[in-house]
Amino acid sequence: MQLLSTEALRHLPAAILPRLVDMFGKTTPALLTDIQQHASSGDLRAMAQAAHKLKGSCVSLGAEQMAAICKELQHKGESNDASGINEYVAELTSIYPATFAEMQKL
Amino acid sequence: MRPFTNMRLLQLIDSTLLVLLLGILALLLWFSLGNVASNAQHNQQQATHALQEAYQAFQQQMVLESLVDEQREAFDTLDEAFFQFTMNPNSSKDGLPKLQELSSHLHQHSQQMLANWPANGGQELKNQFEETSGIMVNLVAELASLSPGHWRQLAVDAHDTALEAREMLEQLEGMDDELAEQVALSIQQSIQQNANLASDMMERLNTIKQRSLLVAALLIVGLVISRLYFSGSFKHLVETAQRAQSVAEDAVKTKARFLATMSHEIRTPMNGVIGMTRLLMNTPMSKKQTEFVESIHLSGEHLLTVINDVLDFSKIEAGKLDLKREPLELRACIEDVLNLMTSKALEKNLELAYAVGPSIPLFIEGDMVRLRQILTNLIGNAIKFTEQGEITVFVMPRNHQGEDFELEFQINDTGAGIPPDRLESIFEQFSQADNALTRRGEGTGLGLAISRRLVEMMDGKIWAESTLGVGSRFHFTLKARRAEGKLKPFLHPDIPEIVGKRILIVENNPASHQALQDFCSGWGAITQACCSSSEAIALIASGHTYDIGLIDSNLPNASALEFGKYVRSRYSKQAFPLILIAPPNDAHPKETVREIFNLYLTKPITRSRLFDSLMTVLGELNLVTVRQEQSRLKLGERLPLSILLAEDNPINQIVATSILDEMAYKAEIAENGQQAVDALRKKPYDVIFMDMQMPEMDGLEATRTIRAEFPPDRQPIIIAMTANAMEGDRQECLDAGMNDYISKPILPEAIEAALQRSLANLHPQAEPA
Repeated sequence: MQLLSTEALRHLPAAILPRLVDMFGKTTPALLTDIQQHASSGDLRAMAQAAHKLKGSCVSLGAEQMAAICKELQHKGESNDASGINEYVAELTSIYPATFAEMQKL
Repeated sequence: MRPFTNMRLLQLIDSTLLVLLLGILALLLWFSLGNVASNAQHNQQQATHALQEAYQAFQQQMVLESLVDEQREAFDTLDEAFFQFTMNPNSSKDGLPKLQELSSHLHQHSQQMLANWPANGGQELKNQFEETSGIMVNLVAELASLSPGHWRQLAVDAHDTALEAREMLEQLEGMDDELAEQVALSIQQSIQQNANLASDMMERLNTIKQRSLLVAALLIVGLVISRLYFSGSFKHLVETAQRAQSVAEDAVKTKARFLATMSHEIRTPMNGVIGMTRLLMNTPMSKKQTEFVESIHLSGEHLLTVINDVLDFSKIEAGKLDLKREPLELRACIEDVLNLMTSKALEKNLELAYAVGPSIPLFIEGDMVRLRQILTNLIGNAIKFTEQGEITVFVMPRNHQGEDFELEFQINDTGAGIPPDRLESIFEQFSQADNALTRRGEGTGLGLAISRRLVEMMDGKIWAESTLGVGSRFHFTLKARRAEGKLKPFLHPDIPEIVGKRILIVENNPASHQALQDFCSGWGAITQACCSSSEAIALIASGHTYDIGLIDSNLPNASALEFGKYVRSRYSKQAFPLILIAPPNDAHPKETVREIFNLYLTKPITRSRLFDSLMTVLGELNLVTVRQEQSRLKLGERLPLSILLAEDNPINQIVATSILDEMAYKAEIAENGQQAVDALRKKPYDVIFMDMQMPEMDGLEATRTIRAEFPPDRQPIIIAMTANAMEGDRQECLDAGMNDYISKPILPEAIEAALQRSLANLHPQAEPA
């Protein structure tokens, strides 16, 4: 699985790409913090919602790895399963900068 | 008391008791009545005998009586004649003969009398009588010798003698009467005896009657008791069985539920393990670590398949698995499976090919998912156990009656084969011909057992035959009905672009050979098939011309390129286009291939790809400009629609609107389900693209609200968009009232296809040509 798959992006009009990447850069850190906070406070349902939202962005922009982790988090949050959440959140946070950097290269 | 539960023993005891009681009754009747019968016979005989005796005695008496009368008369006559003779002074010796005649008459009668003298008449009386009658006769004889003076004395003597005789006769008569009395007595006795016997018999019969009544009553009581006991036991048995059954059913249900829950519970963390492992694989690691992680990953995936198999198997065991009956496109189903398997087959350089009998309908009624499961299993096994050679799949009609078909599937491999003693047991659960393979981490041993159950549920049977070292052949049959389904373009027979085209097929693999011929002739092409390049070259050299050539890259002696070069030496790419059928890892140099061949067709050969290839080649030739012009017109220009996009994620909003923009649609945006419903209240929309998960009101609820609240003419087409690419979600969307479903990331083609599908379903006339 790649950090960034260009497959999804290829279908988008080139003109809107910079706007999307910019938006991704502005919304994602907030969502990441959201996820982190909900994860540590144990509000798994809220965490799942945040993860879902981030997942939507990631899927649309081809951030496959981040999307996969978000999906996992969402799933765990919905099934109220706290196991391994911190690792996922840490992983998600750590690959975000690289993913965003890849996007900006486009 | 512990009730009897041995059903067989119960039956045995019951029957024995019955037979015993009936036997006793029969014996009793036999003996009692047998005695009575012999008694009756004896009595009868006795009575007859007595009567006969009486009759004889009576007759004898009659004879004797007449004899006595005659005798008496003879005496009287003689006595009287004697008297008259002697008393008459005129009598002379001339009257003697008459007396003598009477005397001889008397004598005769006396003799007769003596002959018939009754046995009980007394010998003394008989002698006296004989003497008396002798004297009487002698008196007559004496009369002749005496002088008439003595006659008178003689007459007195004769008279005395006659009197004596008369007395004796009277005595005799008296005795005879006594005899008669005796006879009568004996008759009376016999009658009395008979009567006694009859009453005796009656008494006995009465006794028998009473006894048999008693025995019958006993019998009935015994039977009723035994029946009651047995029926009690039986009821108990049935109840026990029913209880056991319900317990077992509950257990099975619990088991199935448990397994379903467990496998779900296991699957979720397993996905985590696998996901994390994948993430781990992308981080920098030493070679050793990479190996370990890869092995974790493989084991994880294997574990998942095991869980899925166990879940399937327990579902089937619990009878929870229902087969669907929906139109199933048989050929596409096989092609899908082969496509999935290609990569595995390629690792070993195995050929994959299939052929379906032309008489088999395109669509049959069946469960696509389960048929695919069986095929995946059998073909997967074939690939697993085959090191080199080919895997072929054939489908043949076995029986055909009207709309009903019995199909036979054959999956052939050229693997190591299965020992004959294992052939029977491989369809049992947890059995695999080679256990080493299970240990190697491939398969659960449940695959064939699941396949067998599924085949049996489809009214078919599954079996295998194998020759060690040559290969195996798995067969399965299933019963299916012809069904109607929506044809994909390449499934139509007689495609106008292809009809009448001459196609040269050069293919040495018999299965692929067959498949290519079937497909092409199905579309209306005229095919010429050869098995080697030299054969094909000979055909071309002799002046045959073709429209398209389909060449297998794996011809013997690697002669595919050689043949291509030969063709190109005579025809250009436009005059005789060639298509190279090659596996994805084809060894031929790409540059050369591109020079000679118009197109690659990757294996396995499927109808859809072959169709695409043929149409591409033919399209290049015909340069269909009309189509390009048409496609330049955007969908939104051809088909204006008002569109609402319900999506909370700003990035996705931009993505979706920009894609719709490209298609010449301006979409309005709702941030969540509630906003979407409110927007629809303000003005009608033709189409709503609805995200499934949104804050406040999610897509499903919004859809249900819209479907419930708005009149039919305000009902929009609702198309779901979701990142949860799961089959269950799709059904949930449709159940909520959505028209269609596309998964994220959303692609222009998906949106266009969904729009066209929904519109075609709603307004068939609006479908763009």
